[in-house]
Amino acid sequence: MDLFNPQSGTIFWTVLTFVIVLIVLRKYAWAPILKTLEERENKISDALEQAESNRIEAIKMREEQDKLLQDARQESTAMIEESKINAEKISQSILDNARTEAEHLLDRARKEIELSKRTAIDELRQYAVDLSLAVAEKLTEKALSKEDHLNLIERSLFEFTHSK
Amino acid sequence: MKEILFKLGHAAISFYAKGEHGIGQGNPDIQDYIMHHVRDQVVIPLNLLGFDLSITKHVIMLWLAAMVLMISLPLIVRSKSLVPRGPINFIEWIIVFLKENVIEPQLGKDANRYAPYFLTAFFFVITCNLLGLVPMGSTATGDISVTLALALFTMMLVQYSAMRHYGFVGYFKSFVPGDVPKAMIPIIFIIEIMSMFTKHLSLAIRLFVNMVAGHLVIFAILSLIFMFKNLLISPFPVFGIIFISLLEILIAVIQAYIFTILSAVFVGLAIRPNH
Repeated sequence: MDLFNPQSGTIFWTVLTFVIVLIVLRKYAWAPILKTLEERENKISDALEQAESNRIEAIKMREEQDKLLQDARQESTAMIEESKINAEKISQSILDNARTEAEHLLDRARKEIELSKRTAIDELRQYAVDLSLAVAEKLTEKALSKEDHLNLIERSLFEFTHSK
Repeated sequence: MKEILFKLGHAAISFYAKGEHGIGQGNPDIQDYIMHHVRDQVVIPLNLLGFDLSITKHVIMLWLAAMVLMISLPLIVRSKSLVPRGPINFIEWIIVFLKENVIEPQLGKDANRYAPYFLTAFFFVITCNLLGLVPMGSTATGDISVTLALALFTMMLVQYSAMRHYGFVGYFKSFVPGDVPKAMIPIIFIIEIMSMFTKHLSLAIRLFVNMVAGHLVIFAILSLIFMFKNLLISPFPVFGIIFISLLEILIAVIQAYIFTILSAVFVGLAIRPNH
């Protein structure tokens, strides 16, 4: 059976064809594609590395931000606390001032009232004497003797002072 | 399906044509018919300086495979973009698979130097195998001459890589393991040389037989119709042939893969220390 007999012609053509295919594909197919594959591999591994370092940096930055935020929060709390205390102090002192001032004013008012009362009493007394004198004068001109005058004056003075 | 219909029609026509011519009827005809289809046929007889360089059907199929590869692959690979698109994905998948599973495990750091040979061998063999399944085609790799020539390349590559690795004298020394009694050296040397040839011969025969066997089985099943001369038998051959044809697609891929990985293993063995 010549199925199993190698033919020199076919072997020759196979060798020739294969060599040509090998040379052509090596230059125009395998070289570019292997180069592309390698480039892509490098690019992907670079990108992965870059992504990893970016991730680490981002985590670091976030930690920093968190820390800053926490500091700020603490600071603001402290400031609020302090200002509260200050405000309390100030309001206390304002209240104290106001109270002493009010007491002061009240005192003065009281004294003034007392003074004016006394003046008014004195004036009133003077006026009463004058009035009584005038009334007495008018009355004595007609019906009363000197004794009556004096009696009357005494009595009215007595009444006046007691009624006060 | 088309292929089967074609083969069926072709078989029927030639069978009855032979019958009419009275060359003989019955089984011997069928055997001739099958062998005729598997065997190579001279298309253009050519004799150069005493050598028979006839262009046969298988040579034309080889050229067809070469054209397909030399036109399609450079076109597909042409895109320089780092992001692959379209058919280049498929080609890259095959190349990466071969590179990572076949070439690199066997050859290690020399992988890139020898990769073009293995890639070419794989694509060439698989294209020949698959073109053999196309209607009107014939399987070039189902020809012992073709597979012998391909195995010859692997053998030459093995010798080249071993010489490159061990140097010219070291290459011959590498045939004999270091810790062998002196008296045994000539025998071992001869055995190793023989094993080197048989290894590569087996490479050629494996591919050839696998590619021929499928066709033989298809035609044998097909012949059942003509042996029984009964249409009722036809569903069995039709489904049998569909099944075998699908199997042949699988075998076409597997054999190309096996040819490539065995070539890589042989080269790997040749350049590995402690041969």
